[in-house]
Amino acid sequence: MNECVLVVDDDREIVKAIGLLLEKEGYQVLKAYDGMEALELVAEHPVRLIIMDVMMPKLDGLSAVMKIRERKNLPIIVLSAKSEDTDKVLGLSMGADDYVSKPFNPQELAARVKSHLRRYTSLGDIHAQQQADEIHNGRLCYCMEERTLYADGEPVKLTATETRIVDLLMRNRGRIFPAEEIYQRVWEEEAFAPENTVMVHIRRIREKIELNPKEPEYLKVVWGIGYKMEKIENHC
Amino acid sequence: MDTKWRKLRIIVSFASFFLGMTLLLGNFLSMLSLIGSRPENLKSRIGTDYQEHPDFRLYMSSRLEELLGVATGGKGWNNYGVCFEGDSYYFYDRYYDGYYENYPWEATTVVQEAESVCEKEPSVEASEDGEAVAEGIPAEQGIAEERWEEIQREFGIADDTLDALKREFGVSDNGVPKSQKEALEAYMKEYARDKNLRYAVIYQGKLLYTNMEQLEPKVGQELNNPDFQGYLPAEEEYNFCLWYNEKGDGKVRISKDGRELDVYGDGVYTEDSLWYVPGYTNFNVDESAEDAVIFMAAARNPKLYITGNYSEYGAVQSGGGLYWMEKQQISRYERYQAVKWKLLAALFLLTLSVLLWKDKRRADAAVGKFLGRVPTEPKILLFVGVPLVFLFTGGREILRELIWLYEDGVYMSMEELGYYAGQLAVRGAFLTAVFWMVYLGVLDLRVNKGNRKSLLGPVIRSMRAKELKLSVQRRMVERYCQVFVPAVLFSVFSVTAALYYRVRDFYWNEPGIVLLILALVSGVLLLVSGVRNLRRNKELAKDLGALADQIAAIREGNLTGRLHLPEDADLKTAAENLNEIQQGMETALQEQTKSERMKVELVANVSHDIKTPLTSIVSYVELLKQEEDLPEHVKEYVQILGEKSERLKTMVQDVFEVSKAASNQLPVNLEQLDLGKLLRQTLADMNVQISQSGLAMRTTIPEAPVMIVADGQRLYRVFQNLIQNALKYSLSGSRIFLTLTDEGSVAVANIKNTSGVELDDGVDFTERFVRGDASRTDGGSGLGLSIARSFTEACGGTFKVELNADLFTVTVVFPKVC
Repeated sequence: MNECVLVVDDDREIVKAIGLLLEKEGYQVLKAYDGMEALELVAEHPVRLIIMDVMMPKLDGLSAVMKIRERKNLPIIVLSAKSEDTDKVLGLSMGADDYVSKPFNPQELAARVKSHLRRYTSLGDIHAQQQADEIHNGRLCYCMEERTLYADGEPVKLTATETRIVDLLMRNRGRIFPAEEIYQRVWEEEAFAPENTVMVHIRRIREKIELNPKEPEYLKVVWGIGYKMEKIENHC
Repeated sequence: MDTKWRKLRIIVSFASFFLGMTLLLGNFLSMLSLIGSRPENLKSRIGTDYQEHPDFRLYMSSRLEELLGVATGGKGWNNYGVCFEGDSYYFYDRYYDGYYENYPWEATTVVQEAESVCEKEPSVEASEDGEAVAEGIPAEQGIAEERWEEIQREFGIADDTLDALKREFGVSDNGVPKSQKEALEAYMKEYARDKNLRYAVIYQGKLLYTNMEQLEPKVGQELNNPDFQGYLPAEEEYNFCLWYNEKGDGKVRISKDGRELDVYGDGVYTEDSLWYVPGYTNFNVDESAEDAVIFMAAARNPKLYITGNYSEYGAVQSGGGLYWMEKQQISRYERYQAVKWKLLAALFLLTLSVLLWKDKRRADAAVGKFLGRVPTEPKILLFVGVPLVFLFTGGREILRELIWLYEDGVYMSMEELGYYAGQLAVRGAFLTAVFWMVYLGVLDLRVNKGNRKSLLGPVIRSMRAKELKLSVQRRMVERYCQVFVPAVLFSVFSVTAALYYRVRDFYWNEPGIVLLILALVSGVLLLVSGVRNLRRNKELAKDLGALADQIAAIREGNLTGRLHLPEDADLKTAAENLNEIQQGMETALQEQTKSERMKVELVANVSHDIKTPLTSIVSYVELLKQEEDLPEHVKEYVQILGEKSERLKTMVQDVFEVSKAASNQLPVNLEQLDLGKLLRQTLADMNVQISQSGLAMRTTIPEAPVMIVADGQRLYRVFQNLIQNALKYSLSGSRIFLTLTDEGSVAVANIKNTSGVELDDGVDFTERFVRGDASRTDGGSGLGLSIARSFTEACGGTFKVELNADLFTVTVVFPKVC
């Protein structure tokens, strides 16, 4: 399909590495080394996604993101060496769709690119005509009737127990469930030391739905309290 | 030129004010006494005519009374003579100049004594003398020679004085008492010498005595209602004539300058009547006086008559009464004139100063400024001392007289005024002095407000400065002595004075006074130093309180508020030292905070700078991994590169977080959570690692929730690190014990493990980059425990590491939420 991805970073090696990775995944890659160049390329080419570093000469990443956002509605992934929560919030509020802190896992970055593009291109219409029996949450979508979870539009293969856990958590996004409750409601029997059992399943689900299971975005542990499905607004 | 003129005006304004005020006040009282006199006497005080003066009226009526006595032959002519009970003679003779003053008081006593002697022992003395003389005058009325000697002895009278007394008190030179007749003749002889007062005495139609030369040949003849004025010598002018009983009605007629005077007014004598002569309805003469006719004429300009009576006692001024009276009147008149002019001058000068009031204000300011240069002490001494000296010298008298003047001024006679004339000047001076003292004092106060120059000031200041150099304790001891010494002195002096007076009774003598003064002075000293000490101690107590508060505040961590004590406070040095300590602490703290912040910034920058190349490394390792036709051993190298770059990534992140936590800049999101659940979750999360380690995990976590407040994410990292640590360093095959106990107010989590290698006791394992084995060859960053401690403390818990032989214990304590 040769979708066009713009990679912007003042570090040429990083741009080259990301380019190689993405080209292997089958994307067409445009390269820019500062904000101004990025703006020009965006204006000239049909760019579908942008990977943008924050700290760059001439025009920094966040300003460039703001400028691009004025005209184009396309997924932007921000790269930064800063990993503070405040930096993340700032980046996202400026109009970025995703935030990846350096040093990143190349596989993860590729997965994110894929995820965003899928949602942006093939699933764009689905969001518009939301159906009553579907629960959308970021790149996840749970169809209650089918009892199927879709990640980036692709169905996720879950076991029966996992499906029940996902069913519970997706229906109550944002709510924190103690392990005991999850156990009782999923296994439907009295809980005894449920923590391990629940955790094992949670971990397995994470590996299926999260882009980086070590830093989960959706299925989170609330330490000392329980587990929850993070409620994520759709950016597109 | 202009400034010169202005300067002159200023000088003139103040000089005129000064002179005017001084003149006004100096003569004010004299004027007051003038104004205060009776209206009918006012004329006599502002004119030169002595005949207008009350003294003249008194004189004339006394003479009339006397001549009436002479005419009737009664004792009345000399009611108060020596043997004849009277001092009129003296009055007459010596009137001219302060009769009362010159009268020897001893003589009065002698006279009284003599009288009593006469009364007691008349017969004895008379018979012994054997020379009682003539015509109904009893011999016993004279005084015996022995008696005179006795009197002389008794009163210590000098010989010549005695002679004069003898002569005058009716004893002839040979010791024979004079008869009344002789005395009368002698008296009238003296009387006649005064030509200022012409008189004629007629009794039962016969002329008895006169000093009018043209009438003298007729003495002893019948004389019926003569025209006395016609006999007055032409060369003198007698403008004042008085007739008594001219028409046989017992009344007095007076003419002055040919004009009849109204003698009797409404005919009733009162205290206020001008003439003390018979003829009022309530002031009649007896039968004997009805036969007398008397004429008196006073000269317009009296002269001084002197008789050279050398056979007896030399030249004698006789009958100077009217002469001196006129003299006095003129001098008085002149004095009043002078007062008048002085007052006018004062008014003029004051008016001038009022007209120049602007200049005078400047002059006042200049004078005040000058006064400001004079030290305070002499001024106070002057202000208090002058009135005191005045009071203790003649001042009391003068004040009393001032009061009298105020109360009795209206009735004060001219004699009294004359007597006080000198003192009036003193009073004026006193008034003036008081006025200027008050005026200058007020000026000084107004101009030099709070800007005093003091003589003692520098001395006191230097003493204070010297005192301030001493240490606090020395100063306090000295201050105690300052009270103690006067106290001892006061007790000694007062007790001695009391004992002294007990022994000596109360007697106002010098040792007693000295003792009392010493006691008083030391008492005042004691009071002053006591009050001063009390005040300073109060200040000291206040400062001490402030110092204690300040220390408490510093202990609480307030390093900005400084303690400011007054410059002369006893604890000034201590306060300053404390401030410096505080300053030092504050600076140190700021430095520390600053360096921590800089460290964090440095770490942040460094980690950022490391992350960028690391990104490339990670990315290219990934690309390498994707190469398929690599030899097997190269794939292994790539694998190692991947692992190490991954670890580097973790370490960079850890270093950053630890440095942030160390400088208290770690953001924490505190919420209530169950520590037991957190531990179970952590264990569940690390289940794989634990089971792979080959170590056994023994956990004791209560089922009941143990609620604490912490940041769950951070606390998870804490226990994750601790468990990882335990897994990594435990002796293989040994057990790790994780226990959570609920100890009422706190929750205590405990992880024990047996160390695989021998650990060096006394090492702080929570220090950054400290590791149990020194080789650093294992996979840890050396930050695990450090991060655990930092995060625990950031969440409000305490973190403790203990090593007992090979037993490694970490204890994390959090306060429980009730």
